[in-house]
Amino acid sequence: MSTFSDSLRRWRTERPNQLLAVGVGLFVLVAAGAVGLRARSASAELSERATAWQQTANQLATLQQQFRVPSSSESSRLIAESARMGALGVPPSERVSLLEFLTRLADAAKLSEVRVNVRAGTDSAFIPPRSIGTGPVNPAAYSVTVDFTGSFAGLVQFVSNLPPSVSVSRLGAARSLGHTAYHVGLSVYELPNGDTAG
Amino acid sequence: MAQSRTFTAIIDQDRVVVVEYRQEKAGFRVIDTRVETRRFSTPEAVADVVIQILGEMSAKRVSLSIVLQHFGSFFHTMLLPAASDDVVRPIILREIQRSFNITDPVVAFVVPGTSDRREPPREAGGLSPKQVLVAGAPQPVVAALHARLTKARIHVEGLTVMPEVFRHLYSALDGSTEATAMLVCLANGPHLAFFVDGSLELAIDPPLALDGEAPLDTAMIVDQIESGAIFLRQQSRGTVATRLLLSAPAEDYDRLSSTIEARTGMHVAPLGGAVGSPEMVVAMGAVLAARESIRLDLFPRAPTLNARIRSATTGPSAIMTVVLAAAAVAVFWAATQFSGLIRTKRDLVRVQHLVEQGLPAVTEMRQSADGRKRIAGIRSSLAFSVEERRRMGDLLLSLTESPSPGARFDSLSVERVSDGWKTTVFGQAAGASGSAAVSAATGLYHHLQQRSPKLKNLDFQINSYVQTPPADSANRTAVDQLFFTITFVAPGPAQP
Repeated sequence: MSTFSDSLRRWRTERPNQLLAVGVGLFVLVAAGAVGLRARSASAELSERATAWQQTANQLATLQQQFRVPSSSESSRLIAESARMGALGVPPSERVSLLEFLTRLADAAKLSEVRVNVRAGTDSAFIPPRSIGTGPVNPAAYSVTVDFTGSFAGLVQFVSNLPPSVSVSRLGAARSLGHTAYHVGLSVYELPNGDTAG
Repeated sequence: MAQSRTFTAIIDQDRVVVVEYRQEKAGFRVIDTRVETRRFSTPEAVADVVIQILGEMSAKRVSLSIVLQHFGSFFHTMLLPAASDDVVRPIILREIQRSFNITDPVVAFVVPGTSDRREPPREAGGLSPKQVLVAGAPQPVVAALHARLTKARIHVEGLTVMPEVFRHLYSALDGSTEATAMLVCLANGPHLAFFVDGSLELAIDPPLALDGEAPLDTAMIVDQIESGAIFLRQQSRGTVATRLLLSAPAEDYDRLSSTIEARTGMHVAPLGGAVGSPEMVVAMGAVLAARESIRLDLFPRAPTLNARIRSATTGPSAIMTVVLAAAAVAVFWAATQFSGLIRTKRDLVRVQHLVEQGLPAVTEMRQSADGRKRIAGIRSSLAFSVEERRRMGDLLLSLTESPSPGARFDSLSVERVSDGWKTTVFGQAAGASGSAAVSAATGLYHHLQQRSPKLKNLDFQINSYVQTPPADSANRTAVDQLFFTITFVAPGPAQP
């Protein structure tokens, strides 16, 4: 009775090509398996990326759908409003102009003995932070003091008409020899040179 | 579509006979016969001649039965124990290789039935040996014929040898169980066969014809019959053929018949006399042989579907089948995965393209939004500044609106803190009495409390009292004076 090994030996002898076919089949099996696994893994990875990209695309579509394009009138209004940005700060080159403006303002308020000075360093008092869009408007590295005498109404008028580019950090009033001396400490917001309305 | 035409070819190294016939209800009708006589050195040459003759006969769809002689073809009978074909085949191959010295033969064999002439008979359960009829030819010969005829789109019904034709002729035309000889005198010589109990027992090819010798020499034929009869007696336990079926050319028949009867004592009967010449008889025998289910056919046949399935799923071939099937499944799976990968990648590229297309618009939108945000920042900063000024002015005005006539400020200090303005007011109040002076001082405190309820950390402190004597000595009333401090934090505007 022939055993399986005999049968196998006879098979190898009679059909040598089948042995080659088995070898090729095994190679194809392994290669196809490897390729399939790699493709499956890569496909899963790409699917995750595609999902993320799809979410981005959806958000983009929503954004495009919801975004309202400014009308021409709104644009012109916005442009006009952006021109006021210069009032929010003083470029370094305009420091002297600020001093001149303050003295004129004091004169207009009928204040006398007006003394305007610039002090190096930022005032230690709190300065409200200010920003335009995402960019902050930093305090200048100097502060301005204004000393004068006059009426309290003049002080109120002076303070009320200060430009937006300064912030009142300190204010002092003292009665002396029949008149009242006032001291106003101003912090200045500084714009970089060349920054204009945007 | 043209109807298939049927042919028989008798192939010899010196002669090719092609017979066209048509099957009818009563039998076969010979339509045409073509003969080519010359020496053919290779099977390819013979096949080409057959193809050429068929072409000359304008045969398009050809169904051909072939009887092969010479070119190494052989016929052999063997007695083998009863066994399956798988067992018998290698035995036959070894026997053929040993007997005929052909290393790579194409072999066909049939087992017509048992052949047991044992005396006494076998005991119950004993297996009788079987007579195996074997036909064969060298593999290159069969391969050459197969290649040429297949290329010419000729359908070959069967490729067999002369004894197989005789077997079927005997069965169809006579079939007697009496020991019978069959003599067919073809152009290349007399072919002799012996039948015992209706089965082919012995087949003898024509002897080699010497130059100048007539192939159908009467004396030579009789010698061959006598030699065959002796061999039959030796092989078949003394069986003696008493009759002979003769197929010979019409001009030789009477001479041969009378001589054979006179010399051997056999009764001579015609074989297929109604069919025609011996070559016609052989041709019809070839047709019969080709249409039998159990036959000796040397022409390579593609195995049937069932045979292929059985072969592929049994024995060691099953390993190859399983491996190839697994490989095919793996390839299919890999192709599916790969196509999925391609599809996913295409989707990803499409979405990426969409996003890339939308990005410039997003940049514009972002610029626009930044501009709006910037404008909003400017607007809110300006509003904050205005509100800050308003509140500062309001703070100062609230200090001047003190309703207390006896109180006045000496000095004022305001400092900006994170939640507003920290204010310190130094003042003095005077009254006719201490309580009047305190009332004058606290009147400012209460005024601030009522006017600006949102003030934080509002505090009032009396720093010192001073009693001032009357300046006028006539007026004896003294004045009480006090110095006070009020502190509070006035709220600033909310930060934008």
